[in-house]
Amino acid sequence: MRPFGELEAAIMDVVWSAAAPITIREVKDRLPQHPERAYTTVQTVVDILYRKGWLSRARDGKAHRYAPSRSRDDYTAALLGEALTTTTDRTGALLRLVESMGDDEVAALRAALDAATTERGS
Amino acid sequence: MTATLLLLFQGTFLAAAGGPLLRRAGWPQRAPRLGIAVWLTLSGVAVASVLFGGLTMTLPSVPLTTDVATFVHLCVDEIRAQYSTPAGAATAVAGAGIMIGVAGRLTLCSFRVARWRAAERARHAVALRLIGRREPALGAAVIDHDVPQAYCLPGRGRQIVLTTAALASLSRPQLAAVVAHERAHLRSRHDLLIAAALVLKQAFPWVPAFAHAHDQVCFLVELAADDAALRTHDRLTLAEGILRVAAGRPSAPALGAGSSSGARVRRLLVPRQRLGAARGLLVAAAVAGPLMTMAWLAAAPASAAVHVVTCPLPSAAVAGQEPGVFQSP
Repeated sequence: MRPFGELEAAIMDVVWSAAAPITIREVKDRLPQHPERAYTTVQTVVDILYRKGWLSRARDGKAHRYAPSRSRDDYTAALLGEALTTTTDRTGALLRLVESMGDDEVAALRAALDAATTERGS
Repeated sequence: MTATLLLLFQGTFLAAAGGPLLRRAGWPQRAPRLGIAVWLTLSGVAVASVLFGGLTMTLPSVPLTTDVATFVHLCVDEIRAQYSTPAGAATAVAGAGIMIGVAGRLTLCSFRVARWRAAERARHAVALRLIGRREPALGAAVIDHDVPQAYCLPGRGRQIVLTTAALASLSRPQLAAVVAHERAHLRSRHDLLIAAALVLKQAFPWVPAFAHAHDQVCFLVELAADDAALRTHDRLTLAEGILRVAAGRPSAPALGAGSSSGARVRRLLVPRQRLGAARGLLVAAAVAGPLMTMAWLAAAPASAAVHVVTCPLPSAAVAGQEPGVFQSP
């Protein structure tokens, strides 16, 4: 899985920016030309992404056409939604800078911070 | 017996009285790293006391002797004596139960927490690789997203993650302060401290002190990371950075008393107050007390454990002997 990390990301970029579902041949053609990737390599990694659930596919004649299962924005929102919840950082799996605050608390802190800043400035 | 009672009492006392006392104390906010050390040490000593307490119940206290013949006799006699009376046997069984229960829960929950964290991190890292882009100049991964967010993914392949909205809302010095905070988390492996507290909380969910310990460690590692960032950055700059990231979020429902992040920002508004050396020593002594007591009380069962291990097959000896051989004086 490790050696394909970069290629996985590149392939997802291609599929995300494609207007319609595309074949493996098309994926290969739209990837950055160097390093040159063998068709079978691209095929292998596309298959990995399909099995991981990142890509969906439909048969079109002899070939498969691949499309992203979810848009990039959906994935981003899901990933960060996870980073925003309290449960994940309580396991120490990841550590957030700041937890969610209510609007009134943010306003109160803003006032206190502004006061502290002017006080030091004067 | 005395050692057993003292150990069990100490374990219970630390959990029942030490936790609430420590939770009300104000000094950990001034010395967060010491605070973390105290919470984790006292939690560990509480559990270990009960564990050793169980051990003292299962083992007869046999005095060590250099005379092998006496040693063998004592060995078999003591164990026989302990297990021949119903009360002695019951105590031993109870002690073994305590030991197996405590050690078993700890082991089970350690594995569970470790597996959980690894799975979460791996899943997150894969998604991050496909969505984020590396910004070597920043030393962080950046994600296109319109909500400001900054966090770090510890462990193998550790990295700091920022959203484009966070980059847009922070000035250069604020960004540097925020990154320094996250770097401190990664460098000091704060994730492991949280995980340790979580293992105890999950292993013994009916002990409120461990839930408090976990809460407090989660909070104190944030303070420790803030303090680390303050070594190279200004406190108001960091406060501004934290507040800007928090302010760009979709509003959360009001939580009443105020969040712990709010408490952190307020702490940065006044010049840093350090814990005096005298009070620091006092705290260290308060922790050393139970630790030494445990070590001292556990020394007896530990030596007894060694004794039983070196005991020349007491069970075989007892089972294989004609009855009454050891009963005559």
